[in-house]
Amino acid sequence: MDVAARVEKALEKMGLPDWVETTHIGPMLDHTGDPAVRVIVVVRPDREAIVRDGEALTALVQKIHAAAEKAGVDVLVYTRFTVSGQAA
Amino acid sequence: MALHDDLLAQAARLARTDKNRSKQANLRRAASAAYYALFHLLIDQGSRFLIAGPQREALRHQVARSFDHGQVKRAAQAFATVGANASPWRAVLGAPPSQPLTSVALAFIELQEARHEADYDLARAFTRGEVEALLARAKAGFSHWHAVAGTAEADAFLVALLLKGRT
Repeated sequence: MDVAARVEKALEKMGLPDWVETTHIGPMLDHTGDPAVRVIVVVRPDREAIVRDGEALTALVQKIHAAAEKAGVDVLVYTRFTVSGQAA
Repeated sequence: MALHDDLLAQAARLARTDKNRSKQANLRRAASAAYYALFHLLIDQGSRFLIAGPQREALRHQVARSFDHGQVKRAAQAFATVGANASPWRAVLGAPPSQPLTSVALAFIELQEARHEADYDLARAFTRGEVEALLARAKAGFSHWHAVAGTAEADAFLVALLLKGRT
């Protein structure tokens, strides 16, 4: 199973808060050229305010990090948040 | 206010300055400023840890110049991982890093990556929500750092920021 798939499985097992609409998970190379995994957490539009709640975001990132580690993922997992439907 | 506090405030202003659709220039600079805010907080704390005293500012500034973004990231990686054999620093710490310290380390790693994308990756666009989240994580990083500052694990982290190739 590739690393991104392992992270995806770990997050399914972990369970996500109700303010998460969906996640997009995939492999990436970070800016130093190291293999990593990117997790994009898409926040429900009616829970948009959560992107300003550093404690809530940090708590989820730590859970993701711990779940990935437990699943044997030994590359960095980068977690980014975005709000559903929000245009760039 | 210290530079790192001003950078955090600047990041917030830039992220919110556009009333309707946010300009990429403002969002990108906000992401970059959020990273530099946390970076400068850590190097300020690191240089103060090494060079204490009110009359030694010039020497402290010189020490601050020695911090390297890559080394700070490597140190953050060593402290962000809580696994049993994660890091040589485990022998120094005697226990896994606390949650607040881990969160500072994780925030730093994420913000550094975001800063590179903001400054150099023109192929992707930032959204306001994404940048608000980066800003919130930088603020939380400040708060979590202040929760552990002065502890043995925080001191070990500050030393790790400077020790090239030994983490």
